[in-house]
Amino acid sequence: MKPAPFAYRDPDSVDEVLALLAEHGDDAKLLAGGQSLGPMLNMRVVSPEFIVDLNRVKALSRRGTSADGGFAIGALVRQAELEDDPAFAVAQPLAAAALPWIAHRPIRNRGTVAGSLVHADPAAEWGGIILALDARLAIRRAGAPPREVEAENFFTGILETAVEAEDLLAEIRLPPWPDGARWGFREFARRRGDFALAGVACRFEVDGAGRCRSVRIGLVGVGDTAVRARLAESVLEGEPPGAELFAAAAAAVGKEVEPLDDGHASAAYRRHLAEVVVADALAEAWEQDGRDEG
Amino acid sequence: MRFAAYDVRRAPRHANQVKHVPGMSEASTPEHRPLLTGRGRYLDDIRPADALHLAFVRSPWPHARIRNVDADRARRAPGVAAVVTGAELAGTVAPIRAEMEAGGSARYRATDWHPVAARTVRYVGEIVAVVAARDRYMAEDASALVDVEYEPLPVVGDAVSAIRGGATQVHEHAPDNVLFRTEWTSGKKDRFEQAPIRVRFTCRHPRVSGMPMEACGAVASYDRANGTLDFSSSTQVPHILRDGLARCLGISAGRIRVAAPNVGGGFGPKMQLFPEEVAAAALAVRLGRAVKWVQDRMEHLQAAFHSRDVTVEAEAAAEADGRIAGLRAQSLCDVGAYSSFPLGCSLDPQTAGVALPGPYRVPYYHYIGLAVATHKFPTGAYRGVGVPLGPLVTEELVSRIGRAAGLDPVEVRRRNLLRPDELPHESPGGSVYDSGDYPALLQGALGRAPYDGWREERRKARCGAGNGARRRLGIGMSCFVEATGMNRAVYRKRGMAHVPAFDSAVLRIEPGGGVEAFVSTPSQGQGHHESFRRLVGRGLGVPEESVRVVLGDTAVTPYGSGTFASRSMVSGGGAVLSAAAKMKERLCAVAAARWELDARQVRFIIRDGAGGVERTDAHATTGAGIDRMATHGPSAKGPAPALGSEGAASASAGDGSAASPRGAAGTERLEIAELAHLAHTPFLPLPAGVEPGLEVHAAYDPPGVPVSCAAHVALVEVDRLTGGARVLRYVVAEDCGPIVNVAAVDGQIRGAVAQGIGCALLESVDYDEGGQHRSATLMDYLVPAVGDVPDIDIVHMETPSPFTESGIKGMGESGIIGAPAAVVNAVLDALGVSPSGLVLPLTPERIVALAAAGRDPDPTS
Ligand SMILES: Cc1cc2nc3c(=O)[nH]c(=O)nc-3n(C[C@H](O)[C@H](O)[C@H](O)COP(=O)(O)OP(=O)(O)OC[C@H]3O[C@@H](n4cnc5c(N)ncnc54)[C@H](O)[C@@H]3O)c2cc1C
Repeated sequence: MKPAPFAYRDPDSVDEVLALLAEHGDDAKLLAGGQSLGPMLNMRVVSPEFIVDLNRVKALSRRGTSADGGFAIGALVRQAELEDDPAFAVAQPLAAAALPWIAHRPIRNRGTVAGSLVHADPAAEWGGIILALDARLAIRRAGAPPREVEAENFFTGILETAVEAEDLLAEIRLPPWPDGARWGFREFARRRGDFALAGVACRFEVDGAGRCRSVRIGLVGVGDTAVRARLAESVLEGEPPGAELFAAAAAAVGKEVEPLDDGHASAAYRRHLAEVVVADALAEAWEQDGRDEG
Repeated sequence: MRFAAYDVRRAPRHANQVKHVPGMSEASTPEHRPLLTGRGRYLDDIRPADALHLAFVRSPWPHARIRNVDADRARRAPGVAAVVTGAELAGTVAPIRAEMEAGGSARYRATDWHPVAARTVRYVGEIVAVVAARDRYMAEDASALVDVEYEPLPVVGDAVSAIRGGATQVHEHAPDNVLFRTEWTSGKKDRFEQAPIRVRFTCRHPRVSGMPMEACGAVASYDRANGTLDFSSSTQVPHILRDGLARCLGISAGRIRVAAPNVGGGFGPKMQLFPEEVAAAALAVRLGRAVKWVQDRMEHLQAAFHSRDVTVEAEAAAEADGRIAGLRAQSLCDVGAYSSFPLGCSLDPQTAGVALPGPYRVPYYHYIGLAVATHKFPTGAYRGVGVPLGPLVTEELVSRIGRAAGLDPVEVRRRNLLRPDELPHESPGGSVYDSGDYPALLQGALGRAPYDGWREERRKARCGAGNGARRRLGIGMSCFVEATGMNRAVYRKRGMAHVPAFDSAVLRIEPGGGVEAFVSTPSQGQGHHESFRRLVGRGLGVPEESVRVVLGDTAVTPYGSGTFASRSMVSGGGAVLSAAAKMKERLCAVAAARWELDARQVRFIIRDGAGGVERTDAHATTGAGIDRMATHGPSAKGPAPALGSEGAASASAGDGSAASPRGAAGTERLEIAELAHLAHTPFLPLPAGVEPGLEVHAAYDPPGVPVSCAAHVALVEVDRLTGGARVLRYVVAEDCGPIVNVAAVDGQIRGAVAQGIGCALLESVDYDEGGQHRSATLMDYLVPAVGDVPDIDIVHMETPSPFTESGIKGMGESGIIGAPAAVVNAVLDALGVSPSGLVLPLTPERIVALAAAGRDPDPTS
């Protein structure tokens, strides 16, 4: 468990980071919190020639309310910083509620949101969160204008995202929280802090006529990538919330997900779990009784 | 010496005397302080300046012929000093081989396990070449350059297919893949066959790993001038390791020094001889340089001794009133590719067979135990060895008997548990149960729970509005016994040839009065230093702080077995007490010389915790006042250090003291410090036969096997939809005889219960059918974390064993023996199911499947 030899750079500006990525591309890996990259290096799952350490780039540590009233999370913002930020809990209650479920505190102390998203473990909570929140991902590349990718276009395959070898995921942009939106977060793991066998972040609003609107269900752990449960969303959309409707939505989830078989769980069990956590999360959202968190 | 406070002729304490010692303030022992504050010195802290670091090239195939090993590129890699293949080592290093003298019906086949394979590999991870380089990074870089050509062969992936006719053979000399077989019968079959109640249960305990926080490793250096090998290892058994290395290397054990630095947990895996250790030693000799191997966690998961992987199939019969009529069981133990050293592969089949009858009256018993070779990593000892299979299977059978007889789980146990007046009892498993009150332990655990409260909670959960279908509570119980500190007779019976089965201690009082104790049972964090210090301090009447305990270095510690199988306090402690008794004789002899008296005219007495020798000539009128200690051997009654937790430092002076109160006319007394000085000066003439100095050696073979006992009860919550199971409450009532150190005992129990919860719910070393190892990291192999282990409430009873002088019974394994059964039974109780077979661990997925088969429980019970 020792990494293969690599060269190390620790630039202090975004431009230098981008230049190094442009130069070395596939041979380079960015180092953020190192909580995923470190083990992969040690196990020689990856052996990049260059490690480009982001930790000296102060500009990437910014977080806070953005011009549009949403919340911006810089690439070096640690999960624990958000967890400890009361303003974040007010601005983004769903993400804040999910944070304590991500790994363990020592890992959150160093691990970044950006690192989690780019690493793109299919069970990582942030995958479900950005899908439920319609987040936008700001990506930079040397010699190209900054671009923004919608959450639903971010994950492209197992451990693959829209962030390519020469790219830096610079910022995660969470849109303003809709007034009166209800949300639920549920996951099931074998032990607290483990990657979830199935997890869900969901949000919906209830319109004046008492019907579900803007339903978003982001699932993790039940496929190659985090996925939206579109079939279940459509079951809910425009219908009056209630236990029966939620059960129908959960059943829809069971139909639409394509989980993997692995050492931790069979596909059939993960599918079953997806139904259970979705039903629970929807019920949790409904019980919130329209608390106004925005 | 027998401890007066625990005279076994007095009745053992009963239920109403069950006593809980709340978390004693002695908690943080001095031994732990440096470890907890980062000042321990572990194997990796040994850093010879010029050491070469090893990396091992391991087979990716579970079974293959090695066609060719090309190490040229690796040899030319930066920093590489040597690359050694199996073929190169074969001439100088003998294979690892565990011999047995299987008696009776038992049959055993030893295997030759080449530390570096030359021709055939038999498991994924088997070593095919060793790289020695300037650092571990370079060694790993170079090991990737070793080119091995394999010819893959068919694979035997599990024990069941291994014994099927026509299965691929793991070893040429074992056509049926059976490496060990034993069959025992006791009692008469007819009652078993005629009994009206018949219940069955099959349970598979997963292959698990002891998973100490510190993985394994060794640092070897060879002194060419003297022909001596200095070998540090994170080992539990320095002397056995030394013997093993000597056998493999063909050098005399006397030329090898094995030293264990601080060891960050042992739990069993660290008592086997690792092929890496042999390779490290061989390379040190060959290269004449220090060689270092520090096992990383991935190596540890793949190639540190796994354990268990045992399936027991059992059937019990009972009378209509729920009394057990007999038990029939067969174990199938998947021991992997080789029979490991020193215990050999008979370990699990033998110990499961011993354990199955448990603390119950079992008039008929028939047992077959099989150890079967497969293409997996070899198994070795892990805390509890095959014993947890006993309660896992038997407790469920007993509950089923209860259901069939219409008895509550507590009542059916009460009817079958042996009572104190039936002890000693020879169990059909072969152990002689010596002491304790099994029904009282169960009562004590239930009382502490409290059982009625738990039942009420369970009832509420069953009919709770809305969640009644989902969240269930279950209560599990587990009664068991544990043979500890096993002596030479036991290992002789087991036929295990490489375990000396005795332990030794050397005590030395230096001229200034300080005491040094050298004991053959080292510590892996159990607090042995503290416990031995206490034994010596109280045994000799010296301040504990003045005792220095030295463990784990064959250059200075006397020969012995080492630390495993709950033996240290019985066997190592027995040796310490035996040495202390000899020391008292020596002190008496010195005092007698000083006073120019006969040794019989003096005696050793502890007053106010201080030991000294007093002359008795002025009072020696009746004979009753003469302490027999001075004339008898170590087993004679002497001044009695109180070992009881509550008796702490009280100086109970034994039967001599009343006859000779302090200050009585004519009494003179020499304190230990004065005697220490006298024994070391040339000015005190000593009569013939009295040796100068104060150093004694005692080798100790426990005269009998103390059997500790316990009852566990667990309250477990199960979510029938997700399959999640959580242990909410846990109570242990245990009896390990007189407790030397409550903090150590409680710590051992809590840690072991946690491990038992892991075996029941989380842990499993997995291989796929093709023999590929799948538990590569701790994200695959799940150990219980803090959130998975509840507070564990402990009730102590202290019934001394009548078999040993101290009455101490071992308890290091107890927790993990009882916990899997208690947790599993609680889950089954919660779900209201009695499956015919069960595969552990009870993963959420398995629990969901069980729940689907569940009947609706009686909401009123
Ligand atoms: C024991 C354990 C348990 C865990 N459990 C969970 C869990 O339950 N849920 C969960 O979500 N996560 C879990 N994690 C992962 C953890 O959240 C990581 O912190 C996270 O996945 C990676 O973040 P990081 O900052 O450490 O990234 P790093 O490890 O530094 O990098 C990860 C990858 O992202 C790339 N990268 C990093 N930053 C950028 C960037 N700005 N732009 C482009 N590429 C970038 C790196 O090159 C690398 O490929 C666990 C980790 C451990 C060790």
